[in-house]
Amino acid sequence: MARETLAQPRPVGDDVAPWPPLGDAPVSDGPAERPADMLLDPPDRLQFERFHQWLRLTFVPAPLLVVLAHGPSALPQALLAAAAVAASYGWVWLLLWRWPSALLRWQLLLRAVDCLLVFVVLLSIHAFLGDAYYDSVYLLFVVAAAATHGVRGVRLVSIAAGAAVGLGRAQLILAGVMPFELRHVTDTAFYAIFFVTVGGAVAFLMRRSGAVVARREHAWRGTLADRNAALERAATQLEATNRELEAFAYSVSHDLRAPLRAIDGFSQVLLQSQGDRLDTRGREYLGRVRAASQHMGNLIDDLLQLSRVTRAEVRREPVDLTALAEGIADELSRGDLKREVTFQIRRNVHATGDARLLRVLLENLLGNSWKFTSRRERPRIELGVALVDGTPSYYVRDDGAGFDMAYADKLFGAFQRLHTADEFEGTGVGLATVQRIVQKHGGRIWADAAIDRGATFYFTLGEGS
Amino acid sequence: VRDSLILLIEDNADDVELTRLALRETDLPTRMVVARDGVEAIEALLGERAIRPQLVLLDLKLPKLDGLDVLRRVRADERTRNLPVVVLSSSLEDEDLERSYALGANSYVRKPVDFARFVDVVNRLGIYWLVLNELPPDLRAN
Repeated sequence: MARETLAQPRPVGDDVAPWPPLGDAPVSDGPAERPADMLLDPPDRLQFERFHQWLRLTFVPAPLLVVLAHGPSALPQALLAAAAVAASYGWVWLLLWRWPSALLRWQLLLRAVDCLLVFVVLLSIHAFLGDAYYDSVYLLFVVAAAATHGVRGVRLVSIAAGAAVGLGRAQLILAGVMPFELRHVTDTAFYAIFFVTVGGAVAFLMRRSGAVVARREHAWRGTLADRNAALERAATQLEATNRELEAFAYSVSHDLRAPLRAIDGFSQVLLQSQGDRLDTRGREYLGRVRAASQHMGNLIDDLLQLSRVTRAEVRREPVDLTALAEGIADELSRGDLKREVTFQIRRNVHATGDARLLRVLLENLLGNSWKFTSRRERPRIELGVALVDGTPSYYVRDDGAGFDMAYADKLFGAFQRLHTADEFEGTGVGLATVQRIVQKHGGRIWADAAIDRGATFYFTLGEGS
Repeated sequence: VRDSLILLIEDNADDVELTRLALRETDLPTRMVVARDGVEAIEALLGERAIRPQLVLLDLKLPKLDGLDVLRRVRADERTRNLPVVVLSSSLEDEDLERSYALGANSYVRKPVDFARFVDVVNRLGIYWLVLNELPPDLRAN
C-alpha cells in the first residue's frame, strides 16, 4: 500500500482568508479544514504525535523499577506494563507510517485509549502494590489533547482520565485492598478539577499564542500592503514619466528639427541667390546662422541617442568587438581621406552585451579619439584588453589632445565639455551616452589622460563579458 | 521630354518650400503638386480627379490622417499599388522606419538639417525613381 501523503500547510497568499481584526477575537477563521478550536495544522499535529511517542517511552523504566522494588514476583506485572507500552507505541507508529489521515481523524480518541491502557496496566499494579496509586500519570494525555484539540480535547480526555481515577479507586475498594473512605471521592474530584485546570491552561496558552502570531502577521501584512501600494504608485509614476519621456523624445526628433531645417535651408538659399548683394560680414553672419543650426541639429541627434540608450533594454549576446571596431574605423577613415590615422585593433576581442548599444559605445569612443587626434601628424588609435586591478578591461587609447585629470569627474556628465568649440567641435553628450551604455551592462568606465599625451578610456561590461 | 510629376505630402510650409527649392537645385525636369494633409493626399491620389504622379514624397506626421495611414490606403488600392512612395521623415525612431517599410514604402529617408545634403538626397531620389523609371523595361531589369 502506498503511503498517504498529506497536504502541506497552505501557502500564505491571496487565497488565504482575511485575518481576524486586531484585539482579542479568537482565531476562528483559519484554513477551512481546521476546526475552530484546533490550533495546529495537520502536519504540526503529526509532528506532535511523533514527539508524543517519545513521551510514551518514559513509561519504559516503570516496569524495570517495579521489578527492582519488589523482586522477581513482580515480573508478570512488569511484563504486562512493558507490553502495554510497546503496543501503544507500536500502533501509533504504524498509524503514523501508513495511515496518517486516519490518525489525524482519531487523534483525540487515541488519547482516551491511552488513558484506558494506563488504567488497565495500573489495575494489575494496584493489585500487586496494595494501595499505592499513580493517578497523575493521566495528566500527560490531557495536556496532549489540549495541545492538539484545545478545549474540546481537554473536556473529553479530562472526563476519561477522571473516570479512570475514580474507577481505579473503586476497583481497589471492591477488591478489598483498601477500605472505603471519603477521601477517595474527594481525590477523584480533585484530580478531575486538576486535569481540567491544567488542560484548560494549556489550551488557553495555545490559543493566546496563536492569537499573538495572527496579530503580528496581521500587522506585518498591513505594513507589507502599505509598502506594496507605495511601490505600485512609484511604478505607475515611473511608467508615466517614461511614456512622457518617450513622447518628448519623439517630439524633439520631429518637431525641433523641422525649424532647424528651415533656418539652415533658407540661409543657404539666401546665401546662394542673394549672396552677391551682401557684404563679407553679412555672408559671414549667414554662415554663422547655418553653423549654429547644424550644431543644434547634432545636439538634438546626440540627445536623442542618449534618450534612446536610456530607454533601451539590454539584450545580451556574443559580440565581436574587433569586427565592430574595424568597421567603425573604416567608416571614419573613409569620411576623411586626407588624414593618416593608424588604427591598432587587437584581434579576437569578444564581449557579451547588446550589439546595437556596443556599436554606439565604440562609435562614440573611437569617434572621440578620431576627433581629438585631428591635430596630430600621424596619430594612433588603439582598441585592446588590459588587466586592471585583476579585472579584464577593454580600452580605447589615443595619443591626441588628452585632458587634465583634474576635470575627470566632469567627463561623463551630459553637456560637459573639457574643450572649447573652437578647439574641437562637439556636443558634450557622447561620453554621457557611453557611460549609460556601460552602466546598463552593469559595468564601469573610467579614463586616464594627460594634456597633450592622449587619453585612454577603460570599460568593463559586467558579468559574463 | 515631359516633366515628371511629383506629389509632395507635407504640412510644414517651410519644408514644402525647401523641397521645391531642392528640386529646383537638381536638374531634373519635374513639376510638384502639394497635399497639405493626409485627407488631401488621399483625395489627390484616389479621388474623383486623381492625379498620376511618378513619385510620391510622404511625410509621416500629418494632420487629419497620418502618413502611415495614407501609405496603407495607397497600397490597398489597385491603381496606386505600385506607385513609388518615398517616406521623408524627421523621425529617427526605428519603429517609424520599420513600420513604413512594412506598409510598403519604397524608401525611407531622414530629412537632414543640412540643406546641401537635403538637395543631394532629393537629387539621388529623383534620379533613381524618375530617370530609372523612364528607362525601357528590359534595361530597367539590369
